[in-house]
Amino acid sequence: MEEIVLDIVSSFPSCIRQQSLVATPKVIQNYVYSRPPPWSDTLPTIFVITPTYTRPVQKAELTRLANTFLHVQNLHWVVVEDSPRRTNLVSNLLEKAGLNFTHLNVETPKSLKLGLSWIPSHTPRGTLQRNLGLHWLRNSFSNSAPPEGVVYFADDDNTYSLELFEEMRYTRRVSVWPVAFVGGLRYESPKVSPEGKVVGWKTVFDPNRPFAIDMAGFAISIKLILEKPQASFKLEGVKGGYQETSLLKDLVTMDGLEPKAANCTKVLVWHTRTERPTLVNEGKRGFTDPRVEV
Amino acid sequence: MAFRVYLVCLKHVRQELYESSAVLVQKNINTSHSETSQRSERQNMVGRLQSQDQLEKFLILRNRGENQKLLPTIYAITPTYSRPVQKAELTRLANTLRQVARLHWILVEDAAARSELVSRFVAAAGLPCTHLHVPTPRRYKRPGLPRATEQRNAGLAWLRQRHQHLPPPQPGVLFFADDDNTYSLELFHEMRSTRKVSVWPVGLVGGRRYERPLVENGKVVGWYTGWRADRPFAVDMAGFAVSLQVILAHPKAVFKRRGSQPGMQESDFLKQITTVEELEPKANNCTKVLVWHTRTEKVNLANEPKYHVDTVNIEV
Repeated sequence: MEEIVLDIVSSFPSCIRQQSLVATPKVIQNYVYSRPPPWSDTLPTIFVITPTYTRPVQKAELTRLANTFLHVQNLHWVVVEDSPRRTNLVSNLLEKAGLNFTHLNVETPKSLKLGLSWIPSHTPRGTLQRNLGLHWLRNSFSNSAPPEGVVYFADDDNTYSLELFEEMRYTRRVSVWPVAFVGGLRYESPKVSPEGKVVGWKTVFDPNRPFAIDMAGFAISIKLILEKPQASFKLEGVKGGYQETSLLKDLVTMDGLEPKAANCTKVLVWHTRTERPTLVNEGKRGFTDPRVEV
Repeated sequence: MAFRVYLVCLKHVRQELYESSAVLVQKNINTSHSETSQRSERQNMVGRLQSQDQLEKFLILRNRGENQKLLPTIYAITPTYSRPVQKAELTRLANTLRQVARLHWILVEDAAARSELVSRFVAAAGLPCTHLHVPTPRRYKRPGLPRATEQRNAGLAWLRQRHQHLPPPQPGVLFFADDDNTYSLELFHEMRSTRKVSVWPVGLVGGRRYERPLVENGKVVGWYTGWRADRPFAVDMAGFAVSLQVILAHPKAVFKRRGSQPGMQESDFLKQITTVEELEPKANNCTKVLVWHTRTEKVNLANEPKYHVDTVNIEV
């Protein structure tokens, strides 16, 4: 079936009175009604690793994440559940979504969940799951013929713009960009020199970390992941805010980073968090029918 | 007929949507308030099609459009207001809405003037969108009072005004999409066939995993909810859709301020336009949750300096 692409944005009377204030980015201009866009043999693949765990908002989070990913060409979603078995909820959701996916699971042992750090918010989460995702990648592809592609760690409650994926697609080693709503700021971003090299970090929380960047703020090329099979997120002795460093220090140095998003001046990803829903009326034994999936 | 085509051709989504969008273009050309700028833009669009035979197909379909029944347009009214997560919320909502065929997004800002952020967002949104604004009077901004009333009413007023010159019947379905909820794509399939007013379950609301209408023999007979089940319509804003015909047939039906309590907004509105007997249950007789009343946490900006100190001004 040939690709029929219509540029409909400008043909509706809706925004007549608004003049276009900036040139529209090319990635959003056209409708591509096949969901997802057909796989291309020439475009680098984006492997998105998402750790997830069971809680009331899980299905909602994964649904809206899938709705975003359905726009992105050549995206392969690696969903890793923190559970002893793959749940039906996630399996069905992935089947129905229509995306290319891999469904894995690994349970975080209770001892780890309770706290590597005495500050609960600093306990690294999703570590085992992300490592399993990396492990799957290394098993699926060989270093001698690495595919063109990039790995991105996407938590299920963040918000991603479509532009972000096109920025990261052509990463040669490790690329970085600003992330909104982390570190108690509107956004944290790498400090970029006029020559286009990363020279530091614009953060308030511990800017002297080797990589003062959030999980959502970088992507790594597959080639590099396969070249360095020992690189993974560390569990032991990782202070709060250092999880990203524990992986990146084995892969790249600061001057090897590629700044994206217009030299790190645009925010294309937001570290949103979803409120825990108040389920007070469920009572101790649960009121609603547990067979109705939410 | 087009509706049946839509159901049958789910596999050939591209072709069907191509047809319906071509038909919509035809409709736009014929509406009474088209301006010259629109027409030249349409010609630009024709010029931008990628190949000769696509252009041919487009022209054939456009001429056929006159006789084809239109797929009902879904109108989504979204009130929005300025806060740090606004752009993020609108972005991910747009990522969902963009995948729905024949959806027209009506975005209403709670503001005295159109903000730059939303204007820029709308220009690049990639789906048919109308950008309105109306400020909420300060005295209504107290906690405990119903919210977004003026904005939803502005959306209704725009719809009514737009359709008053057109002969009935207008196929269309209207629903209220708050910018922090989560919508599955299946929901839009379900609501498109609304004849008068349809209802379905909503997840994570009313202090429970879900709230839903109780259905017997295809009719709504009661409400399954954790909060005030005595409401005449115990549904959340995200739990119902109204056909355009009903909205146009009841020109005075609006969300009320005077004498309304929070949590009763939906009831007070639906009372004016329908009865419980008329409600159409969707989502498999109201047993599937296709929309979730998610809420986003307030962001921690504790480390922001009091005054702007950065060398650049970045929109977030």
